[in-house]
Amino acid sequence: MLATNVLVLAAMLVMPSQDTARQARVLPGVRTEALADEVARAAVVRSVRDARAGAQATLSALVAGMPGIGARSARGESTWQLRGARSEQVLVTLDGVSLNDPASGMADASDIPLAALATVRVAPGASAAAGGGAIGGTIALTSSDAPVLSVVSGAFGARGVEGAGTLRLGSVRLRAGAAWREARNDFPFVNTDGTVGSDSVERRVNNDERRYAVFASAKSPSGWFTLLASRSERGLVGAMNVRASDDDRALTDRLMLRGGVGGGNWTLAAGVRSLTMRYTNRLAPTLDTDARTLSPDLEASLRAGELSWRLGGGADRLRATGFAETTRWRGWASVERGARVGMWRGTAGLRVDAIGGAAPIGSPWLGVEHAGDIAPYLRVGQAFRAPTLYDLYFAAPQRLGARALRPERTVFDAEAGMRARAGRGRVALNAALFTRIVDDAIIWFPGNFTWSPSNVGRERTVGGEASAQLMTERTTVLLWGGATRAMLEAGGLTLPTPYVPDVTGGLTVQQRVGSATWSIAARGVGARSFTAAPESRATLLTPVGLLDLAWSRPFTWNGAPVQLALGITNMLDARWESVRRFPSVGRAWTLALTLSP
Amino acid sequence: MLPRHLFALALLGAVACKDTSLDPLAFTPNKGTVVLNGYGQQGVTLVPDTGTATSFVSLPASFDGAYHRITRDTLLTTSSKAGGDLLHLVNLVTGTAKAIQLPAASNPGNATLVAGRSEANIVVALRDSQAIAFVTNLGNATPTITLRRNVGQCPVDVAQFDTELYVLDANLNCRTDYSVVGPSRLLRLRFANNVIDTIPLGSTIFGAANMTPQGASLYIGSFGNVNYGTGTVLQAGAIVKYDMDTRAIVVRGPMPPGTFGTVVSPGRDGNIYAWVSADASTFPGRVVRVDSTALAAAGPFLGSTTFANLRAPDSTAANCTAVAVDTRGRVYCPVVGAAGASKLYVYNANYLLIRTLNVGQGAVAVQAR
Repeated sequence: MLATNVLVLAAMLVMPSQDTARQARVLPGVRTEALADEVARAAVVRSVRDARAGAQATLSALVAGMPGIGARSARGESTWQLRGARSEQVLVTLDGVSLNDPASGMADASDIPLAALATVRVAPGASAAAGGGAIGGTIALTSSDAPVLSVVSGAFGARGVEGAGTLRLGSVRLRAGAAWREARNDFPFVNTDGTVGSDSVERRVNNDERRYAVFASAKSPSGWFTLLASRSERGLVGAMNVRASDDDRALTDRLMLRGGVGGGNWTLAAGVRSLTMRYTNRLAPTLDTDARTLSPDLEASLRAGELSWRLGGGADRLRATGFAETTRWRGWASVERGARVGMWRGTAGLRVDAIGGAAPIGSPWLGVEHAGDIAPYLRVGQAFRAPTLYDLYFAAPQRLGARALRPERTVFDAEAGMRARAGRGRVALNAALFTRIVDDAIIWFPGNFTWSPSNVGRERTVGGEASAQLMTERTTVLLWGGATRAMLEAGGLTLPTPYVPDVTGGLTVQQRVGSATWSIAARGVGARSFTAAPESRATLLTPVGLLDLAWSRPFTWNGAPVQLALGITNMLDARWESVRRFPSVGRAWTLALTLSP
Repeated sequence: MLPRHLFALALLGAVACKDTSLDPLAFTPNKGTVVLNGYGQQGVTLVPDTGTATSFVSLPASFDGAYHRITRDTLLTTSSKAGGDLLHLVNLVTGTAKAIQLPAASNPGNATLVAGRSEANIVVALRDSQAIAFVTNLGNATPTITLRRNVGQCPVDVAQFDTELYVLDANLNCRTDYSVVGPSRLLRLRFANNVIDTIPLGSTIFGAANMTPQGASLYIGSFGNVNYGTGTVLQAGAIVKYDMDTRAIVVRGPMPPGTFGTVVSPGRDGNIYAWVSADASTFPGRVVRVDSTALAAAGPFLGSTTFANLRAPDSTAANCTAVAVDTRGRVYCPVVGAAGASKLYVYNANYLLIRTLNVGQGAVAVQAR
């Protein structure tokens, strides 16, 4: 089999393809993912419609329930881990555009309303084709075209409303919407971090949030644009025993505007993203700070014969309290080729990134998979992640000169797996083994005076994932699980990568009873280290099991389809922490009414 | 035999009563060195005088302290307001640790054991509360905490001398950005009448960080004044020697120009040692040795500087994070490498590197016992 694969791969690169491509790239609509993100991967897609039926009223809740996702939240943000990769090593995109903040490297998708979205696709594994930063994988969000109106209420003061409408003007399809959501989030928790033997039940303080968003899009045969703007005000709640954060507040504004034109075999897209974060403390106004990033970019893509080319450039501009204003330029070029040889389909490509004047970095990839009901696949590749602007400047108090940091380099990322279908698609099985080696991992540690990042050693990750899905007319069962070992070798020490559980797993059962749908979801998260320290029971968060229950029922109102959904999360009221010393919410309820005209 | 012991004891008592410079810890046996691990795997690493085996006492994951004080077999350290305002006590004999909750957001500084007082056996400086906490910790009884408020602008350290309690006031905006309010001060609280006297330390003494009594002498380390926006050291740190008997400043010893962050550490070899940061950009840690009389820098020096000539195995200057010196003049210098991996360099009195030990992660302080 291996010899066959090698032959196929070689043939793919030298022979004319019979069916090379996916045509989506040349459509003047929303840009889709690169072919490399589709071939030889165990991607999982979940629609917002399904999520609403499961009473998942936020993007954070939707993604957190997907197989293989490690969701973390401490102070109102939502970040995700994949396959043992840290949050800043996971690329989050909206219609192909990176949402990872150039300042912090992480994407906080908590401000993106569900009404703006149609699907979420999780594609684990490094992806140079997706762009810098996709070391652990890509979480790709796609915009919706459908009108919707949803009202939500929930525990601890949660309530919100969001909606979107569509309009067709000739050949142009317009969509616009808005969202508002707020919550007190003053849930009870047990303070275990005070003195020994004196745990106390308290309520979270300064954990409230208020979020607003507007979004719009337009599509025509020759062009398109997307706008997403959001504002969030939230308390920056402290760790469970820390009262010094009780007056810390954050105001975050995000804007993404992107448009493009296309014709024939080419597209040209331009966009800009901005992020403004303001930190305030009424008791200590001298500590008030703000940071603003502005990231314009331009990309051209072209299909020429068997090859797909992309060429782009952009900049990240940072202004922040205490920072000298700084700009970093980015440029990239990639070429990709898809091929089909008999029952085998493959992709190979190379992306070269140049960033901040550093030497260009080339990241090749190769993937091949067999078509049919039993589809083995193999993928190998490289990737990289540039130091964030905080990495470069925040560590030096005067912030005048960039810190000498090399990009993180995924020197080897490989995956071998198999997808299988049976019973006319009613049974689906997936299994994959993966490994990843990252050199020059950028890790923050305290220094003599300040925390500072440095390129430390080598990260090695190995693991396996499997899932099985059974679908009948009334019942859907999804069982999934995985095991990961992610270790960092640095300074003579071998440390587990923080917050990577040794095992994860889940079981979701969805059953239609009459017109109603019941679903029950159980999820387990194994032990995981909460700090970059040698393996020790003292630095482990304990395993946790979570159980969610949801009920939904469709009906019509004035001829329009309406869905009522009720969900109870963490039914067993498990006490757990996704981030050490930041307690997660216990049992909570959500009630949502969604109109989909 | 017994009469000879009694005679020696009587003689010792007489000497002690007359010579208040006698180190009260002079009879503490040398039991090795204690390293404080402030991040990564937090705790205390106990290093014996020989061999490479060390022992470790864990502290809670919330611990974020960078300074500790050992009296006899008790180690005191604190977690700041970002670590939950805790006082940590470590019994170095049994290897057990205990935490005592201090007032919320009080931002504890350094702590000390006090003797002969009914109101407390531990006193803690509370920087943001502008107070000191009198803490009783007796056996398994629930600790009690009593605050004495209005004790300076930013009290960072405390030390007992007979019936008086000295409080070091950094005079910084500790609640916000630690900017300088004015020159640092020493406060003397007389237990008898609860009166506080203010003792100016000098117009160039900013950001006092710690103090250590040696008999009747009190050695104070001052941070200095740094403009981080420009990376400029406006005022270097210093060591101040104060005589608690005569109640007078004996001498001030400025640290080398361009340095800051002075943490003073009286060596058990009779000299005074200071850890300083050599510049405000890359924060290299260096050690300065001064004589205890004039506080003048003493060699051997590192090149043309007045830093102690402590070198890493590759002959570059050792980037120490703290310093301690035992009775034999051996210098202990923890260094932190990639991933917080820490080593303890041990030098002889001539600064020749004689031992290197692994001491866990995040070594931020060291003290010889």
